[in-house]
Amino acid sequence: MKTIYYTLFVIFGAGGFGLGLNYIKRNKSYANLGAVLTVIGVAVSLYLPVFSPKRGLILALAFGIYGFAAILFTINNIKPAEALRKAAKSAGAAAFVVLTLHIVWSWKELGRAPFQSLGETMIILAWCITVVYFIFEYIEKIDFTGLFSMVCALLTIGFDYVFTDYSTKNLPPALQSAWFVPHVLVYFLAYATLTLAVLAALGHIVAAMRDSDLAKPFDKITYKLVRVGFPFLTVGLIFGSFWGQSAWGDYWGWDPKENWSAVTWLIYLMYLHLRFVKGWNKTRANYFIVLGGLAVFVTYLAVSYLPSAQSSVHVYQ
Amino acid sequence: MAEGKKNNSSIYDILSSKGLAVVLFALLAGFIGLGTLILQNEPRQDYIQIYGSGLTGLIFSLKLNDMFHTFYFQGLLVAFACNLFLCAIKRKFTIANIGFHMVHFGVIVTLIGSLVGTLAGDGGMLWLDTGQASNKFMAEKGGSQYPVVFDFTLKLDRFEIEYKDEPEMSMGVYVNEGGEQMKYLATFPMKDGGKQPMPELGYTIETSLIYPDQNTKATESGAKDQLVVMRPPAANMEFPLDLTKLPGGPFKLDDEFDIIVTRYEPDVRVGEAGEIYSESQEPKNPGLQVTIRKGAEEETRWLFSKFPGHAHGSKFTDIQVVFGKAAAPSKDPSLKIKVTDKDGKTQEKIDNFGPDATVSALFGKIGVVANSKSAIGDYKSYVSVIEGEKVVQRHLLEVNDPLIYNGFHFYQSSYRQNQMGEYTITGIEVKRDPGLIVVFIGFISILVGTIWIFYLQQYLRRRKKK
Repeated sequence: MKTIYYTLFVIFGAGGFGLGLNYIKRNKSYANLGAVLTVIGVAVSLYLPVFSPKRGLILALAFGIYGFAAILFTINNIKPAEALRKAAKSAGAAAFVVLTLHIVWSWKELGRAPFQSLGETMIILAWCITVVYFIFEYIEKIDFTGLFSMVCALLTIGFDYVFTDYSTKNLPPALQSAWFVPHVLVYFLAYATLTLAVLAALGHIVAAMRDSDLAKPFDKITYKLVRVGFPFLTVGLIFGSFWGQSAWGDYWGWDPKENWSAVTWLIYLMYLHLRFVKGWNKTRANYFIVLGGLAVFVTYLAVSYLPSAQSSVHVYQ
Repeated sequence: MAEGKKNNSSIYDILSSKGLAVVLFALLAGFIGLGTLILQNEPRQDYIQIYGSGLTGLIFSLKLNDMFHTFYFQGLLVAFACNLFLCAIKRKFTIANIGFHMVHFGVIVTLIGSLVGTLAGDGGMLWLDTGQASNKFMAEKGGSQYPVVFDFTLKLDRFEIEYKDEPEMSMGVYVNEGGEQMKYLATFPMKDGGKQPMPELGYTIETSLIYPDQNTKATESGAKDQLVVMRPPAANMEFPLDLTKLPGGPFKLDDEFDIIVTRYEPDVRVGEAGEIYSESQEPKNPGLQVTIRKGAEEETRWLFSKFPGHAHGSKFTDIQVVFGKAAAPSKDPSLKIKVTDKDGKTQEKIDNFGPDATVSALFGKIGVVANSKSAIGDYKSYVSVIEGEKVVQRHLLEVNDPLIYNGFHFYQSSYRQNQMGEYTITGIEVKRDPGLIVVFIGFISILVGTIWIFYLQQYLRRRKKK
């Protein structure tokens, strides 16, 4: 079953590649090939019975279209063209719409917000990454994150397919709270923003090593992303405390996941303060963004594997 | 003098510097991270198992097993608060800096509130059985327990567990690739009449539920009264009772014992003179009077179905007679797993599939493990607050819906079974935290200050530029 999803990715990816080649080679036959492959991909998605129930179909389509958009963004980055950029953005928007449909459908089928399991949160992360990309693209006119966004979304959806299991309808009593949706959503918007910040920070570090003119713009983007993401992190932390208090009478229980979310918050706090400390240039401060990204990874995924976390309420089942 | 003043200023500058703040952030992050890598507040044996005895000794001597209550961690928090305070008062109190001050003072206020709660607050568990009331709970602090008394009484009127309508069923599929163990493939949701194609393996798995009564989903059969005689190492003997026809018996045990049932009372009470009578005809405390004979010896005693332990104390020590209920015939369905390979050949397995059951089967190259899990939807306690003789408040206590009364917070936390195996006992977490309101003020200040600095202030600056 997983082979078929990857096959779809290849079909859509080839479709995008074909369209992209058209712009490079100025040869319409590539565009025609790309279009044919894309149509085949859609037809295969609709026809194959393994995609029922609908969850598989909609999510597989989103996966394929994200792949398509990623390829278009890649080619645009190599050889920029306005039409290609618009096509890439349109594909990204289409993927986002399909993914939103999947989330809405899941919510309806499960009878609860699809924010519980690791797989479900991976999908939410992909969705949030796309939201952040479009907001930054619209407000700040920052375009480079398009490719990163599509690739990140692709990887998280793919991770869901390959590594995680189905969703259960049951929501344990502790999660039956009005805080469930706002706490998780705010945190994943933070993770999405800060994931893109890590990529921008790496771009700055590499550009600074090469004395490239891109170092300053990358740094500016990094700072802007952290300025958006850090408040989400703060709000998520405080929402979690309010929830803990209403559920267990504990606004802070030194739970491993709570602790790592505090570590993540402190690392980004360090970055924000270091930018104003004499002797710390922006490149050195940006290393803390990368460290913060590692902390996000630990908080989200790795903490479940710590021995101290086995009795934690935050461990994904 | 000027030199002294300069030195004082530089000490003040260091203590209120961003550099020191960053160092403190790093130390806090390091200690907190370490506190997740090392088990916290677990039995010593667990540490030895994971870290070995040498490292365990070091962990315990440095108190890393209770990191967050060590003097050095608490000291770090104090240093953090002091640095925050000095940083905050260094900056002018203006409208432009309001976000800055809200965040910094918000953190300080939160830490103060937390300290007040730690020093002056109480917390612990209160366990109540249905119908039971209490005006105190056992609080825990610093490893010791002490009672905390309320000026009211809390009574558990009723405890309920809600199960989801259908148990959650799933099946894990494994494939034999020739290794020692089968390789796990995936887990799928399972339902009655479900079909799971596995085209890559060339199999289709169908599942269906078969109920005991073919026409209905459950059979009706009440549990019967019975006398159970335990005589280890022999198997128990069960004698069904008809309590409408007494005396019942004699029930014979290997020609050695005779048991005669002489009297039945549905709701046993003991009068002042020690006489047994029934308070009502409702079977609230069923009691059975039996006479046990062994040869020339004879004993008459009462047995109570709600207190099977009362069967002890008989002069016949080699048997134990208990008055109870027979298990009702199973209403659980059976699960039929049918696997069809690409050649159309089928194999089947049928097995009992009650709540929380697991059925596993091997079908050639693939293995299927089917699980049924009772899904708890919710658990809740109907409680009453009583002052004097009067019920002043009733509350439905659920997770995420605590009761707050007279400064005490009651949280639905857990539950357990009574002696009869029924879930009638609720576990309530009780908290009294005088610092809580201070902490919440701190949180809100941090929230508002953060939104001010990172969003509103930027927006206003942009507007001003335009």
